[in-house]
Amino acid sequence: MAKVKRVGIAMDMTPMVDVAFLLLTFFMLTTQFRQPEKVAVTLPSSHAQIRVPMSNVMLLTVDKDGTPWIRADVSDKSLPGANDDVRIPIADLQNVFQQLRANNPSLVTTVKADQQTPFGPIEDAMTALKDAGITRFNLITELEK
Amino acid sequence: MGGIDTGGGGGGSGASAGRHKKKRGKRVGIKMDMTPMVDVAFLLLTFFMLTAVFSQPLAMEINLPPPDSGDIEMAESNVLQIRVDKDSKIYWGFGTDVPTATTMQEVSTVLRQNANRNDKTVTVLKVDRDSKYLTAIDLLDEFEVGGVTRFAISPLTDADKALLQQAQTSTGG
Repeated sequence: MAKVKRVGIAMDMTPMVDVAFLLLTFFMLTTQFRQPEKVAVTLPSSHAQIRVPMSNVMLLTVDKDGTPWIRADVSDKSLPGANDDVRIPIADLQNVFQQLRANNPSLVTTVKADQQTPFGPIEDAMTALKDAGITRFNLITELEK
Repeated sequence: MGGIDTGGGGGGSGASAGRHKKKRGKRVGIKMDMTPMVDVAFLLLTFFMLTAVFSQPLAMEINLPPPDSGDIEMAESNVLQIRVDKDSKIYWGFGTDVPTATTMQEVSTVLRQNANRNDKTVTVLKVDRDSKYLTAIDLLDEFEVGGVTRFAISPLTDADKALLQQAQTSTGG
């Protein structure tokens, strides 16, 4: 059998690289980095599959000690929690929920709490949510491994 | 118009004069190795693609009854009560029966056998205020996995605590 002459393959990579850079630019521009969390919580895990939206979110974080913190995407920056997580006494929660909802009615409520948080403050927060007319909310969990 | 003509003429004459005077360097096709740049590009691309997709947190949805919906009268025998005491121990029972102790592993069995016993069965989750959030979430997760859609979350009352006490003494003694 005659030996086939080896040919160095020179392929034009330019289109592939073009596409790669296009995608890179797209992802770089669309990526929103998560802000470093002010309140550190270890999330419990569950089999839940619902994804939480990235914008128009009211996030209620209950830390290990049972202190509620709130942050919300609202236009009125003078409202509590408009810029950063702020501590809210349990007694004021309902009022704050109502103020935030009045400013941005399309807010999606999410609740985040540490595994070790006692259930009491969470029960109080749920009651406050209910009294504020928020009967549908999401409990943020991690995917069970 | 005049200005453009003059400029073009001047440039032209200058260029032709230069061609005669200067020796021009030979044009070389520049070949740069693009491989490292492309490597980095792909690396970044992979990074951004992965982080963009997976950074969205997952959540379980809870629907509470509206505050003005009022109380709904139900036969006690149709209410499956899952109670959690302050030590995060789990008990189950119908209505005001003395509850039976169970574990997180066995809850799914309990739910499968009892939660959908008939169309009217409603599961109520009562968690002690001193119990851990983790227990509540694990139980809610069991509800979801077990297909228990009709459930309510309500506070653990003193009456419930008394029942749990009763259950503890009956099993302990």
